[in-house]
Amino acid sequence: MIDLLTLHFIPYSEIEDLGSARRVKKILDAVKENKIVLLEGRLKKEEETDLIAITMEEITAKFKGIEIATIDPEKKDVTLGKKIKHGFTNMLLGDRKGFTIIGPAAVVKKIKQDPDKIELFTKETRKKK
Amino acid sequence: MGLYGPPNGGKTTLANRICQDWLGEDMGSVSNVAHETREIQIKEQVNIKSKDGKELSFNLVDTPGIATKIDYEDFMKAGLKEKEAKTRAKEATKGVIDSIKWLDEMDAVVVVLDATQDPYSQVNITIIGNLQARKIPVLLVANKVDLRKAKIKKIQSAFPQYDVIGISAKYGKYIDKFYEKLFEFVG
Repeated sequence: MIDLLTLHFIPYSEIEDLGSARRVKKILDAVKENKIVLLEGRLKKEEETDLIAITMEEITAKFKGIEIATIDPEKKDVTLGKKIKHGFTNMLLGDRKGFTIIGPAAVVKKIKQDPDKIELFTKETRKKK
Repeated sequence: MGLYGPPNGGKTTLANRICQDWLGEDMGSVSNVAHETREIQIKEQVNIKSKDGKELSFNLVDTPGIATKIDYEDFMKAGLKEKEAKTRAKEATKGVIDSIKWLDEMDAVVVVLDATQDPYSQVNITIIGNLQARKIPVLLVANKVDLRKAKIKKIQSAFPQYDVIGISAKYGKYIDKFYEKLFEFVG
């Protein structure tokens, strides 16, 4: 039973200059300490698969894996004007947009996401937004 | 052509359906316990024919389900003994890694999703996003439409840029439409 949840914020500036392997390691190291990582921005697509693959390599009876979700602010925007606007924002900000939540599966039971919100369910079934 | 998706979406059931329909044999075993497929399975030279006489030949690759967590205790809850559950968990983790490694080998991918489950999972988003980044054509299958809880529209709205075809791989429902779509998709 875990009574205290630790939210570990990682600003994008902390991972900006790291290579993919070190980014993934930084996140996974924090998650393995039973912290819930709130990452500013998002990983690259191939880094997400690297994160899953490395997580699988490190699974033990104690570390059961991760729960992950990303909020992408431009998902809902479908009009051409907004697409052009976000295309320009993408050039400036790249992967800095949005947020990614990564938590240890032993603590986070489920992360439910839709384009508007992320709901995080802990093992004690407490609900947070 | 690879079959990808989260565990228990029905990838092997679809692989078996395709192999039964065109080769007269199964591809792999299926189970209600997740991670039944823990190794990459390949069936070479699957030839399918369309109603208007076109032919399509491909190697079919059935992959282990991709997950972000694997807990041997979940397998115990499903009735496995501890030793068996731990072995299954170990094999399942390796299976996920293999599935990811094999992404680069694919010319086209059918992503098989359980239409009764919430499609907004990061695993689904990661798989589809990776295929998109690799410029690999993707066809989305909303499986298990025989079940009342199935919601194809939810998958369509989650991934509006892709074609979604609803089927029941188990009962063969709408499987002809799936084959027709395959011709459009890779033809």
